[in-house]
Amino acid sequence: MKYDNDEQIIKAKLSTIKTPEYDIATEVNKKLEQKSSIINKRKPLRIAMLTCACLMLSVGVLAATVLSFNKIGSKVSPEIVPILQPIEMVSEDNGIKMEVVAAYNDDEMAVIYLTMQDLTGDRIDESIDLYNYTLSEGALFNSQVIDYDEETKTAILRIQANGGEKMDGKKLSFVVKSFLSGSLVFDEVETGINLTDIEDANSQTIPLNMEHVSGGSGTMFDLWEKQGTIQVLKGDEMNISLPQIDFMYISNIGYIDNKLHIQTKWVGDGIDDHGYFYFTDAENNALELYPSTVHFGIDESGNTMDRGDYIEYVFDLKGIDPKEVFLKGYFVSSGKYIEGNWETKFKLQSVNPEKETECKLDFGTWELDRIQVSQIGVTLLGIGKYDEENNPQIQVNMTDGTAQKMELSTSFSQNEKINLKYLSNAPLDSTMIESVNVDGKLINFKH
Amino acid sequence: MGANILDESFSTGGEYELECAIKLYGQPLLRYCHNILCDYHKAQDAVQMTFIKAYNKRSSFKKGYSLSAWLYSIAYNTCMDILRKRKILFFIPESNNNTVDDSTDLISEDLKEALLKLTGAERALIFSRVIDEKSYKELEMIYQVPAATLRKRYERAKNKLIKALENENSYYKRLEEFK
Repeated sequence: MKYDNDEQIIKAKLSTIKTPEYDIATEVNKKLEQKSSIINKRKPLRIAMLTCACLMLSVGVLAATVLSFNKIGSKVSPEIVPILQPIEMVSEDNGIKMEVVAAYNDDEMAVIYLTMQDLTGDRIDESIDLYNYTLSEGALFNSQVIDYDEETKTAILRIQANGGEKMDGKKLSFVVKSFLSGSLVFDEVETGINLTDIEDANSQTIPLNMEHVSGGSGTMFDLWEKQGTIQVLKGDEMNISLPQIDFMYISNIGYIDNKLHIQTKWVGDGIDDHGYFYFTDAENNALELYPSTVHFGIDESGNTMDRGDYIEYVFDLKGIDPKEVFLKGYFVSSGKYIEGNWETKFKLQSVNPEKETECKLDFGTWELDRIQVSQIGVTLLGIGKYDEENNPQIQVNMTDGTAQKMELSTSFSQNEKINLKYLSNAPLDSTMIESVNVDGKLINFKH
Repeated sequence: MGANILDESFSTGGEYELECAIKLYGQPLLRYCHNILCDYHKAQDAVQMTFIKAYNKRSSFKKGYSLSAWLYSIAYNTCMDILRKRKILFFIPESNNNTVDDSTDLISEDLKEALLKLTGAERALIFSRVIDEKSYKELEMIYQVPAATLRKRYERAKNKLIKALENENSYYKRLEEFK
């Protein structure tokens, strides 16, 4: 290969990177042996939205465990460490210890790092998934496992709460009522279903009153709700089981109004068994085809009812050649469901102060009226109907002449109140902020 | 076992074929992942995951295709998943998301700073062209993107890296002068 000058410089630089050799084969074999006994175990991602929780027991105690704080510090991005506040509040119930170790926050958002440790058994593993939990402030919660120590049976979790108001300096309570662990994830499940075998017509259907549905999702769901009654497949016309999956099966499949309906019946006793279907091409690349879903029940006489174990997945396959796609599944069996009452109370106090200014910017369907800049990032607050397709672009200009573009992290809209959070790539010094550029319009912060 | 024989036998093979593939492609893939992730320990994880995925999905690898391109493609996607996962965990844009590498002697600080100004995809492309000397035809198979698009992306990434390296150099020169 002939190199130009730039490439010669790059080659010389990249050649200085040292990548020590190590025994890949031994490590791969070890992991393959483990895998054969625990079927593709992974942590399912959950977005939880909880509004309130009754607090019954309070067992929070202060624990001077500097060790836990240091451990969290070693697990997070180094930029975050300077703004982490030690919390170190412990709550113990049902032989399980929860410790809220550290946090960082602004007025709208809080990130909490906590550990969960089983002191008496093996109820916590790397798949731990908080099920019923809440922070007294905030409306949108998200939890993720960031580390698991097999020796001490301790998981470290990161909780992000958005949608809070004036959180900074407030005393908050964090409560966990239940969690799941031991989840089994079955990915790339081959359904073995050939779409060309499914007849286009003649699918027997039953009406479903949308008032009887217990849940749903997807772009078609809103339309179905407007229609009031839709047609779903007649229940239990088939029984197609999937490899290794004993908690659900395909109870019918067919086309209704040119859309592919896959009806499933969930028969396991896991509290949060879930999953979805997707399509791949011949090269095993997942296609961007997402189903809409509707959850309902079917009574003994075959009519739909409001509670039940059926989920129908509906795909619009317009423009797709059924001969060239493969139907696969991703399913999660939720494992153990552990209940208890773990509660801590603590005060959040951000390291850097927050700045706020009022403004009036029209985005067509909504109007921006306030901007807050904190150590974490920028919050845009407005009123109207949020247009997800057109997020404002944000850049923060500092007094030293530097500028930083920010990415939208979460958007939250309730009763036409809009809350958009843009996160910084490193903690911001709010005393240094000169202005915020919102879609090319400059909002001055230097007062 | 040679590359050609392995291309033919991997999909129906077992542990022996896996061992041969690791012997043949393990270290080059480790270097590739290290350059993308700028973190040696994460690169070790990525390369292990690559071989585990390849072994578990070997029946979907088609005879006659290049096993090397297939493994690079899996490694690339694995690295992108790791970078995305970090982004979710910390909500920090990837370009400035300094992965925690405790082995700073493996990549010099200034080079790491410059590399982290690029996206993971750009680092992958630069490494594939400049160090692995892969042709655009091979890169098409790995990244599933037309050669013409890859050429444009490569030129952009190259200019971005050169600019970042120049900035780092001038910063360090200034620092030396200051000392």
